[in-house]
Amino acid sequence: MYTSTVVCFPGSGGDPGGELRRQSVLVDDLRLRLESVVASLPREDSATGWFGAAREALQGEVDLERARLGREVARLDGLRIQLDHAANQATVPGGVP
Amino acid sequence: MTSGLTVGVGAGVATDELDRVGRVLQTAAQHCHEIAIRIPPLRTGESVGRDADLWEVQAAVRRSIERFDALARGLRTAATLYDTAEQTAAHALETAASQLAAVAGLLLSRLGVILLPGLLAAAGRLALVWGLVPAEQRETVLTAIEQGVARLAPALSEPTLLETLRVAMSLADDAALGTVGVPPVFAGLLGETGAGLSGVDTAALAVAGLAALAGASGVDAVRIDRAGADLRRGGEVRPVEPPSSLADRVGRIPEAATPIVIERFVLPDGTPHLEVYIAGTDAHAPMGGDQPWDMASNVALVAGEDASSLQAVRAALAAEGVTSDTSIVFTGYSQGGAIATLLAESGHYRTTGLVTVGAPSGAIPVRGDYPAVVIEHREDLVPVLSGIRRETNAVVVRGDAFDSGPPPEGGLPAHDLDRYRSTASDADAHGNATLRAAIDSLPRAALTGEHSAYTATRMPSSATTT
Repeated sequence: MYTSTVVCFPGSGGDPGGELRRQSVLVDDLRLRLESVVASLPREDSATGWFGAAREALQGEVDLERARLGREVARLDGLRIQLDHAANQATVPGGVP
Repeated sequence: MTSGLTVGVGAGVATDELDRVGRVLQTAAQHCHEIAIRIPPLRTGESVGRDADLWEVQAAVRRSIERFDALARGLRTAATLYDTAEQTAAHALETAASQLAAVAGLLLSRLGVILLPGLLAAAGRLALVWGLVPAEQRETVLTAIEQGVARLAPALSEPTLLETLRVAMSLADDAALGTVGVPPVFAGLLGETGAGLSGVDTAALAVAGLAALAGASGVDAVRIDRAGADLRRGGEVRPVEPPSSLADRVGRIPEAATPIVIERFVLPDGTPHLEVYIAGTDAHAPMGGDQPWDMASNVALVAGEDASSLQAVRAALAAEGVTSDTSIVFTGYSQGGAIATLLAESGHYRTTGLVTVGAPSGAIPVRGDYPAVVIEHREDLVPVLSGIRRETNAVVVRGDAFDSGPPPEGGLPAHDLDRYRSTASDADAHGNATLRAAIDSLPRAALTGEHSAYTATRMPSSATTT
């Protein structure tokens, strides 16, 4: 299914540019999903009936995970840009977009 | 309006915040897992740099999944520990408070001995003066007293006052023990927090005894009749759809005039199943009269006596030919809730569910292995009357009867059955996992059943019980 140099998923019709664009869409979808996970994590002001040291410790842990996943959202966004760029290079004759 | 609800198991501890955060983290872990499994196909080997980035993303997401899972597990453990710790702390506080109540009782009784002659003389003079007051002015004074009592009514909807009253009801027996000279430390040992030899039921038994002496017995025999137009055929039976929710069940609780409704279904496995709905107290019924759903039965129930209303429901179940195989869900409001709890816990029936709203049933333990949901309003006086809630496996749902502002006019507006139906509807929509599990465990019949209603009449002690 895969080659070592040019990747052509089934149904791509041997079009490396189109395939890179498809990958870019998939990566962007993952980015959006991860972004929505980050947005769903509880924030400090969302506590209504639970306060104190235990709540703050939990919030600290959740904030760490938010930061970790936030970085990965940015990394996926960078990947998407790279894939879009590579797709453009593959489509335009001579490699110039 | 589900945000105002607190849900807990046992003493009614609000663990729903922990539960909510735990669910959010569990969902986040699940979504992260779905993302992680979609990353490997994107590593094509075309670009080492891009593949390395995808490795990094996958590893980070997997670390987050582990952390979210661990945090959600921790929250579930914390919720259990909070329940246990709060119950232990409440027990210790109550022991100390019961000893203080006994001291107060002891002091008041000694003070009473000293002041009694003076008080009797003052009462005599007051009675003499009252006799001399003209009838119109007596009417004016009585009206003023009535207005004063009416002004106190809103205070009886204050949650803080009601929680204090709940504790006070539980301490009444300790104060009484102190009054008769039992040393405070022994009062604590005898009460609910110690050997359990005295409690709210002891205090209620004393009230029931006094009421019986005054001619208002709540334990006299009853006669039941199936309600409906076709009396020659033993009353009316009509088809009914199975209940689908807590609110649906609460909505089927009858008025006190026809206090027992029984719906007969067959479960998908062929087992006979009954839904039993029991009415609340008839506020206008004279104590000890022919309406068994009166205050006399209420007091008898809290005292642990065989109240007339309790006898009536047992008789209706016997009339329906209940056997040890018959699955029964008991649903009751107010006095009906206390009856439902007693019957569910009696061991005489195959209880498969219990739903109570606004019931003075805190002193009745719920230990059975069946789903039980107890719904109370924070502003309702009636559940408070049975004192601090004792051992219970029930899921306790506490909600606000009113949106905001001053409570509506009328006697005990927070005890209104329609308001409880609305709160039950909120509970149906609530996301708490324990509550959802309890609701989902209630038996569900698939086919149409039969509905019967019963009236009940209290008989003199010598009459035959039906």
